[in-house]
Amino acid sequence: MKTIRQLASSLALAGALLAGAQAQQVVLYSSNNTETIETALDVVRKKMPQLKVQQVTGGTGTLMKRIQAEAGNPRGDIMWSGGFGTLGAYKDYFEPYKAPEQASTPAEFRGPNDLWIGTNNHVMVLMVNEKQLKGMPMPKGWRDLMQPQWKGKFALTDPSRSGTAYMLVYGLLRQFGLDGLNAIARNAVITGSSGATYKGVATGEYPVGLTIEYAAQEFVAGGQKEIKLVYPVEGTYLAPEGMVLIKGAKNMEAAKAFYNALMSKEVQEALLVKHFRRPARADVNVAKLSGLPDLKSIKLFPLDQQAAAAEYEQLVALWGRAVAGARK
Amino acid sequence: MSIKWWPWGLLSGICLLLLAFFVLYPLSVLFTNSLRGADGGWTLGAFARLAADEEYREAFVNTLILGVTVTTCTMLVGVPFAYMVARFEFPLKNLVALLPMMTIVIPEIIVGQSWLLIVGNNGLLTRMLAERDIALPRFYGWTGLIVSMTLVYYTYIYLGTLAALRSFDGALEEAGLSLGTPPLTTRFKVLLPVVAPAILVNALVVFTLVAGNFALSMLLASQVPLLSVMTYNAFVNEMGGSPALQSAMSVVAIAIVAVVLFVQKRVVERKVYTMTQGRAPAAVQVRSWRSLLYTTMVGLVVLVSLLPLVVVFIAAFTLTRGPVMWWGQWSLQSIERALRHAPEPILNSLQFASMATLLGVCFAVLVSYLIIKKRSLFTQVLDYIVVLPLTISGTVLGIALVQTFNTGWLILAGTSAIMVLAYTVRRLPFAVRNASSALYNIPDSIEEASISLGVPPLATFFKAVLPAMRASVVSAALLMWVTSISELSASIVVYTGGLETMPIAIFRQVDGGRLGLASAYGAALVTVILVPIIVAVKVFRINLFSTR
Repeated sequence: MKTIRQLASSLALAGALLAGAQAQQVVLYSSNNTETIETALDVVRKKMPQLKVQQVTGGTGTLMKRIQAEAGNPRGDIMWSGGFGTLGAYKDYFEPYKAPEQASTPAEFRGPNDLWIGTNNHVMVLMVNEKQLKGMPMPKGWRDLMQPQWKGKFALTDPSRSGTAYMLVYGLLRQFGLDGLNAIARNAVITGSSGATYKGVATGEYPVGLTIEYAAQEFVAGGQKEIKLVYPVEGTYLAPEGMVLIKGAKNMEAAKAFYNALMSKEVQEALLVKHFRRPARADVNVAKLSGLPDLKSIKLFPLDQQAAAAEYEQLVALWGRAVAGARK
Repeated sequence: MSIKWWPWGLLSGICLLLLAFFVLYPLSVLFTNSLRGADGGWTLGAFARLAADEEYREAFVNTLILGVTVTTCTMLVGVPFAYMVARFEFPLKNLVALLPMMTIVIPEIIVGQSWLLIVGNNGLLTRMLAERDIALPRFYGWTGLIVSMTLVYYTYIYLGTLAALRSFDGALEEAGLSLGTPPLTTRFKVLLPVVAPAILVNALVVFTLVAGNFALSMLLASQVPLLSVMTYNAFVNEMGGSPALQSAMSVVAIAIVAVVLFVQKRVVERKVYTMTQGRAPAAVQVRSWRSLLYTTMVGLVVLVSLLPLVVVFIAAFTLTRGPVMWWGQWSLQSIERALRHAPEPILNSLQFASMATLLGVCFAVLVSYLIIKKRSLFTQVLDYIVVLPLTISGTVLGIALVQTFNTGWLILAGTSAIMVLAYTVRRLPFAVRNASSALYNIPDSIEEASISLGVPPLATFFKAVLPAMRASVVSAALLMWVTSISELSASIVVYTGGLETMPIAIFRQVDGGRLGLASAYGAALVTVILVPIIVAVKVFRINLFSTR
């Protein structure tokens, strides 16, 4: 106990000294996992050694609601990151900012009135566990999974529980219409979180998962040989994510500097190399750095992110009916 | 009943006020929110929506089924275990009799993720058996929920039954026997009626714990809808959910457990026999095949329930690449990373849990003293309010506290005070129970003697009553400290930046699929928890789980 107390007091002292030496601190709200945040902070620290970053992590929705609830007395300074659609729904709580670094990000990945900036692009893929296919052919795209033999063989996250899953289902509806949506709903195993989908494929619970590129690639890079990524032949969907400054942030100046630093090429490259986060910046060579295909070489089906967000209630209801219909 | 104001009446009033403000008031906010429509008017709309929701109805039924099943299983494991330990002597008994307490101490989140490491779809055992073409049943869902919860919660039944068996007066049984009743009949007619209420009381506690369980349900029940998980999901719903719906779900969760606890208070507790000065029959030495059998049975249960602890330490030192674990290859990288990042959450955990323990134990000692020794109208109300937190699962308590103390004149959300408050309120009923059990055993005559010798009531409390309670206060404190440190479900709802505790850090790692790192954090947390316990038990000879 004594050593713990000594350790505690010396750490407290060190903390007090640090706090005294510099007043610069930022409260970061983030939906990214801890390792990803650490990677970014490691690079940022080299540029801004005196900056102290306090983190609050959670799902995008939780954090957005927190920002909304705290609007009278904001406790966070910066939020990294949320889907463009989600950000659009909460835009009253953000501070516009024209960051010096934003020039290298294409206009399509920037928010209206500089309310946010795209940080990374999620690409939807089919994550396949070859061992679990058990004789079934490798699926080539969305249409394959609509066939009856795939019933119960692939997982998809409930679109009301995950922003990326929402974009995926929205894409399916736009590309294949209600019939396509119903066919997918009929065959899919619905999971409660995006993590449950890709972790489920990795552990062999499902042969295939409709999920995010980076999450699947982490297992490939980790050395799990049976995991393969398939980019659907019909074209896949993008879900860009962005970062915002919170309106009325207590540490606005430091937050702006931090915002700019997070967008920098160095940070974005580190995130790509270590965690396969595909940068929104146009000046990063994805294929060379990560082994993932360049965005140009992936067939995409274009989606309007704002329209997607506007149709949220409708689509979730539509999906609910599709799933209920499939149960009968 | 007339109330004497000084000093006990006044203190009862203050306790009542505090409980009203920190327990009743948040609950009332929850109840009103559940009845508020989007337009601000009163409506039962949220409840109607829940009743119409098929998944929710399924979750409701599932929660009840799970509660009953796990409670039954824990009784099947816990009661025979306690009986063997109380009545027989067999090799290694003292060691295995103590080990079940470890399962209460290990955070559930660690237990859950370790089970996945062993028998999950990609688990150690699953893969080993798969190579020999043996397929294990899927651990996710019902199997895993029932197995893992039984192995955590049987301890409550075991401890309760053991205490009842030990306080059972052997003379009663001897009387029965000497009057010519056969041994088996005596056991059913004399022993069972005395011990059964104790088993039932603890069974109900297990039921409430299962119904409110968050960590294990979250990890294992992705395909089985359960109320606790649905309530949490409604709170963290990505695109924002309705507060009325969250509150309505919380109210339903409270109602279920409230019904159960009401049954306990009304029906069961009245049948509890208190035995003063009872002497338990001596344990019988068993030999040969029976001793082997008892040791094996008890040992097996203990071994299986402690397996998670072993796996956590193995996984903590296993090589990982991203989310992929390379079993059989060792590495210090997870431990090293954990140690680099752990100090902050560990210090938070220690700080919050210590504060909560200090507050909670002082409050619990006072309240239980008032309830047992200074009965009045006030204290009867106190008695009911103080067990109320038992009806509130951690998630619901967290939601209530956030909804209540986020605005208004007292803003606690975002400060460490709300963490301490959440811990204190959650663990208070257990602390009160611990303190009460000691008080029942202190005869009123001690106090009366002191007062008649001219010592004022307050001084008598500090000089005569408190010293007599010392041992159980210390064990209550240690138990509260330990269970607070491993608390997850309430703190994960109320925490903000800089307030992250170890269980939250572990939950985040598990959620992100980093089992290696989660294990390393887990190993650090278990070490932090176990060191003080071992010191307390070994050096200060504190009987931590005093069974009387």
